[in-house]
Amino acid sequence: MRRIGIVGVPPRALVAEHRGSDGVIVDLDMPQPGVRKASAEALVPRVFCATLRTVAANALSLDLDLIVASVGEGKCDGARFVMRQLGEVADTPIITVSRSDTLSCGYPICTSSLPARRKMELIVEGVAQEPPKADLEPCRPAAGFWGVPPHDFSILDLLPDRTHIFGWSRCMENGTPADMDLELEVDPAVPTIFFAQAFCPKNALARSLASRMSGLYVEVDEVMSRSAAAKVQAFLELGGGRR
Amino acid sequence: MILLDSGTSYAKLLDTAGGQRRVVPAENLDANLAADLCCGHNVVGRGGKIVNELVALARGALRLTDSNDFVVLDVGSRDTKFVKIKDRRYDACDWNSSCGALVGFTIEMLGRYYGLDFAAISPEREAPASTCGVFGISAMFDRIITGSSPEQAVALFVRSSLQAIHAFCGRPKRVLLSGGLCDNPLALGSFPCEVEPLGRFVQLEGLLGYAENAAEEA
Repeated sequence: MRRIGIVGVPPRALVAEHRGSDGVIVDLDMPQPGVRKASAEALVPRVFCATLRTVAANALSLDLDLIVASVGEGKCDGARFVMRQLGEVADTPIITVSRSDTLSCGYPICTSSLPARRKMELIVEGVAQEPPKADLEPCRPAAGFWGVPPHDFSILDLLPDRTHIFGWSRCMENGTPADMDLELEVDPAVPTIFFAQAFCPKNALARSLASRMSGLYVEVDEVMSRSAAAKVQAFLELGGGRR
Repeated sequence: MILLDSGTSYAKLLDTAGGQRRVVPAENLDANLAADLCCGHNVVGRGGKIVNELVALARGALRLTDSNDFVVLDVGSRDTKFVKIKDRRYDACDWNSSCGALVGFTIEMLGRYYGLDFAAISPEREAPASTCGVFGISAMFDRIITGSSPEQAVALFVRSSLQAIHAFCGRPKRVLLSGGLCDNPLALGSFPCEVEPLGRFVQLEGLLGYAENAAEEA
């Protein structure tokens, strides 16, 4: 059985083509059982984006037949650098693709009334295969979460029902990971958490958007700290972001 | 009702049945004490409802001042946090538990180590920026071995730490200060802005407000 590692949001058709009828997809952006993060240090510094450290650790530790990675504009330069270096040291064949798709697939998961964690799980799972067509009724947002899928999903558990998803995660669902206009589009009336992984250039977007939209900027490295959690809770409880 | 703000170095307590507000060193706090309402770093195992520290800080400050717009800043032993209030409503907050942290603890530790009387030390008006507390301490020891008195070196360390904290909370013209530094004359004189000490019981006041609201709703 072929094991295909994916990074970022490669085109589904490309993933399906290499997966074949019985291949298994492994999302290298997500922590995988039995993989030690420290093994990434053969490829990337310890002080580095937690998601890319996860990618490096998984790619170096797992027995994979192929890696299909989106890099560059639709993912990040960090992924481009990591994949290039991985190609120098690993035997696994790597296909990289830079996406600039503009065809919108829509984002019903982001605007649905599902809990925020479940939304993000579906968005991430949707990279490899189209999510099942469920009845996803849009809801009026009580809060917003802007950003990439976090390394530690527990931040999503702090968000109330009817939290809408914005930012790059919404671009993922929409099938347009390089669409910065969509990435930057938020509802100023919605109290929103602007999240970025530590050491990610998207912190520049998160911080300035939070400032302009009266939202809360939160930067987290691997595991969400108690102070980061407290900021999110206080922002929501004290009515932050309401204009 | 027992209200408890259980910080890293000190616990602040109030028994609403007519008791006084008390400060107790964390290591002396009765291990079996159960609180009805609590906040702080050391609340685990104290029972009762846990209130978010930033929420307690904001609510406490709103009860202690009539100002419409202010920044309330809590410099604790372990961390530093602030809430900015505009038109008596939440505007912004942040909580710093890594860089800029441990300021309260470090100042107290230095005072004990050198046997300093903080009331007798002149605050410094300018200090080189220090990237973090560790570099700040390193610079302080460098000054001492090159001839500065401990008093002057500590005053510069306090000033540089408070400059960093002032930047962290958005460089306001005035801060309402919460925490143990309210009792430290050197720290009060070293802030790079106007400072109004609210005392050590701001978060306890927030818990009290919480308790009173809950009683009214019941």
